[in-house]
Amino acid sequence: MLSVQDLTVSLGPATAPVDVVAGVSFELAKGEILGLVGESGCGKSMTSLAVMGLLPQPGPRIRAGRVLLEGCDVTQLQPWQRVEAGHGRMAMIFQEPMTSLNPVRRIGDQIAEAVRVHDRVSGPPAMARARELLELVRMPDPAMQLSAYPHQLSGGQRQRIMIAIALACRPQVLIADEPTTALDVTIQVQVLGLLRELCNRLDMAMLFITHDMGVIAQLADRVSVMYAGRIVETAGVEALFGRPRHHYTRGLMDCMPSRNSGARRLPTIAGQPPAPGTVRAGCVFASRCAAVREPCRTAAPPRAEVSRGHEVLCTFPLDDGGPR
Amino acid sequence: MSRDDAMFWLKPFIARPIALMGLGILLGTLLAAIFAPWLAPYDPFAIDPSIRLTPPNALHWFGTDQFGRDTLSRAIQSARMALLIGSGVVAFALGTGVPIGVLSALFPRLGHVLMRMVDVLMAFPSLLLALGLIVILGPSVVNAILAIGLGYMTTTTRIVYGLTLRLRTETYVEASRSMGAGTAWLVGKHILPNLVSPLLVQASFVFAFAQLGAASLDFLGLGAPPEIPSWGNMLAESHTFITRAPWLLFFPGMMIVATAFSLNLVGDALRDRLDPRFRQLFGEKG
Amino acid sequence: MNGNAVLDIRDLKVSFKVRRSGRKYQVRAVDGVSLSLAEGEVLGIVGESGCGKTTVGRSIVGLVRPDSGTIGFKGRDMTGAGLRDMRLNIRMVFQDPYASLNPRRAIGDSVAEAGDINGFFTSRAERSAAIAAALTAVGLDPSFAARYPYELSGGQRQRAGIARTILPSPSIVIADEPVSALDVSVQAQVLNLMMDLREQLGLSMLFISHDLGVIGQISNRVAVMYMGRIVEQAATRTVLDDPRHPYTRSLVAAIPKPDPSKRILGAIETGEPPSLFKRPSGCAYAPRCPLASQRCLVEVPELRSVGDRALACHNV
Repeated sequence: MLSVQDLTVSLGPATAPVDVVAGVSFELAKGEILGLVGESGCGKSMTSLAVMGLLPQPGPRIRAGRVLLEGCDVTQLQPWQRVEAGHGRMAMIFQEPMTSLNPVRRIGDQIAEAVRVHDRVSGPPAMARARELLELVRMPDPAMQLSAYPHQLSGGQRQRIMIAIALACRPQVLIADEPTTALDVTIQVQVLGLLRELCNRLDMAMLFITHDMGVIAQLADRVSVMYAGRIVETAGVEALFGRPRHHYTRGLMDCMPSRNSGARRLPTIAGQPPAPGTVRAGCVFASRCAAVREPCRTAAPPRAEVSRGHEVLCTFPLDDGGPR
Repeated sequence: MSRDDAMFWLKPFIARPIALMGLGILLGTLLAAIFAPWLAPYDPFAIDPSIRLTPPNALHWFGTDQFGRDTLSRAIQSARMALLIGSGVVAFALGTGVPIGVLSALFPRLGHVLMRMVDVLMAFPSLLLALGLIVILGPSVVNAILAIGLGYMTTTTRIVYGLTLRLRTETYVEASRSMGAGTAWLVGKHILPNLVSPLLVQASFVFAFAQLGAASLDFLGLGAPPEIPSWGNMLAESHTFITRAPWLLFFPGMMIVATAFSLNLVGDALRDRLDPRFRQLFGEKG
Repeated sequence: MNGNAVLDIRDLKVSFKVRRSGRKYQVRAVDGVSLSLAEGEVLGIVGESGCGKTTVGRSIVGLVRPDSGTIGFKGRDMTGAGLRDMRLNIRMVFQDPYASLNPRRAIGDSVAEAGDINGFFTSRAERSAAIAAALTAVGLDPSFAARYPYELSGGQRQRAGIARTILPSPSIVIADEPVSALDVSVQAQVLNLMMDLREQLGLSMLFISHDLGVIGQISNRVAVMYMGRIVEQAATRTVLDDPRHPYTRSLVAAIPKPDPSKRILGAIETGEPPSLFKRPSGCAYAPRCPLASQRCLVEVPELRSVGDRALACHNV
């Protein structure tokens, strides 16, 4: 369905590019949820924007790589061509729904506008579809909500509206960038549940970006862990949490408070991620890795498939992540 | 100011040649004002009826006026009055606008009253306000500064008021309050330092518009006394000769435009410098 | 409640005037909260956004004025008082490490601010030595004193924010979501630091957070707040392992567990969040509550002692 190959996004002048995303590759199958997890600045949001063709201008640009949606390279298309082609159907939702909604327009009008653009219908049919979409995202009392303004809704409801707008174009791929980070846990669990249900029901693929390992474990089918612009480990969710092979993945899991209840001190990953472009040779994680050895500092680590569907970017991967 | 600080302010100018040009014109005006007696080829006040209304030539680059005075020398001499008016207006606008804006934001009850008064002043076009005041106070350089400054005091107050309202709720200001800081501390350590950059931008715009205001007042004979050379006075004295000796209006007019324009360019560059979105463009953190 | 309490809050009520759609509302953010903090204890306050937990913290350091109630520090009432020694004794760590440091002041000046305001230092040398010591205590190099916030990472800024609260050393630290803006790996470092400092300096701490995982890690006792009231309060393990109040239960159940074999999505019902503008007449949680009875709709449940915990529910 969606295939991202060797995607490289760079900042700065063409003569001295700084790669904020360095050779990211992943595949997304129909109906699948791929979790992209990493800390702030690791390039996960930049990856999603590049895939969507929404990189801010002027600024970062795609320096290399391809984004294939059903075999068609969308990085080569102009935005209008994507709509024209009719098969470039990807949609995106963001962390803060309030900033994506127009505060002075009714919810119904905003959804209908998206319907109008994608279905080429307006008036009552568009409004009917808007109502259908609100029902789809399990909005309580959809007929009433059509005439509400964004500020009259709660954060969770606004995020449902954003999902409805995203679904207006019948996307084959939904990209969700930290859509629940600003929500309370009791609401987060509802929105996550909705997203998974929609993927199942509409056979829609989803790229879910988050910093929260807990959310990933609850939602994703497969997980890619990103660090300093690179995907360092990709595996099925059970395999990743059951037996992480990259030292960074392991470290991330260990320092989660909810996995350590009772321990007096939390395990930590020493130091902080390198600034983009500062690691010239060797492994990007070498400066923080507890199991660093001499070759890590000089040779770039190989990408190895340690078991079926489980790839890791490490010269000396963990033998046994061990269930905790 | 460290090297880094200097680079911080220079970067937007280097990135944009037109802003650099603006900075150049501004420095030129400043030098002209300071070194006027040495730069001017002739005595700006020397009358010589034998060469009255000479067009620009090798001896008198900008020509001469109806009294035979050298226009170039008078234009250079006028830079002094331009700078005096400009700095006077900026000093008055900021000197009154900053305290009123800050206090209004910190003390809402007082602010209600003061800001309504500012609103009333803002309702008048600034030139009309200046004219009215001059009529009451009588024409002089100081009164011109006050009259023009009052118009820009209102905008400065508005800007400072808005910024202070926002700064007041910044977490670091609350942190300071939670540690027992009083108003003087908050203003001195947190609010004023954060107002410096936006005020620098405001000052450059006020300076530019003061040039236009002063020229208008001079032209109407309500600004600097006619015996003092200023670009506005030069225009006023020679506007009757516009068909016979257009250079008498062209050169001082150009000086006014160039000064105001260059200040605007510099102001734009400074503002871009302070806008975080543009900062990213220059590839910096923070 | 407690004989050796360093901080004793009784029946605290705070309300705000809010203008919305042209109408004025009186929003009750804190509606009768009583808390006591024992010497050396870490008390966690947990709840969702808008539950009033932050307002409790802010009233203690004098950033908001309570409508009624008392805040006692070591037996003295300090409600609304700007007493200097209390300002130095009770200090606050803020959530956003980017917003809590003045971008135009050097880190050292920010760290020394409480001392500077209150005339704590007698000489410049003493001041720089104190700054260096505070920075060292939070794991920053003393050379950071001369740097500016934009040169620091989020974790470093939060360390600087903590350094500011321990110079001079206080008795109580109010930590308002101090790690929620940080990445997990940095979060763990900062939590460890706070636990170390609590031990070294003998601090008592009020730790405000929406994250039960973080609360469970650092606090001895937990108070769960909902719409301005405490609904359950007990030792941390009691609350996390055996939540009784229906709200606490849904809060604990909704934590996304980092274990793909224990999936909860679609399995739990949590209801719509409340609006501060429409407070239900009875128990505030009743509209979302699976146990709600007729009584819950009319009568506000009082916080009462049930075994080893305090609980505000008619039906548990």
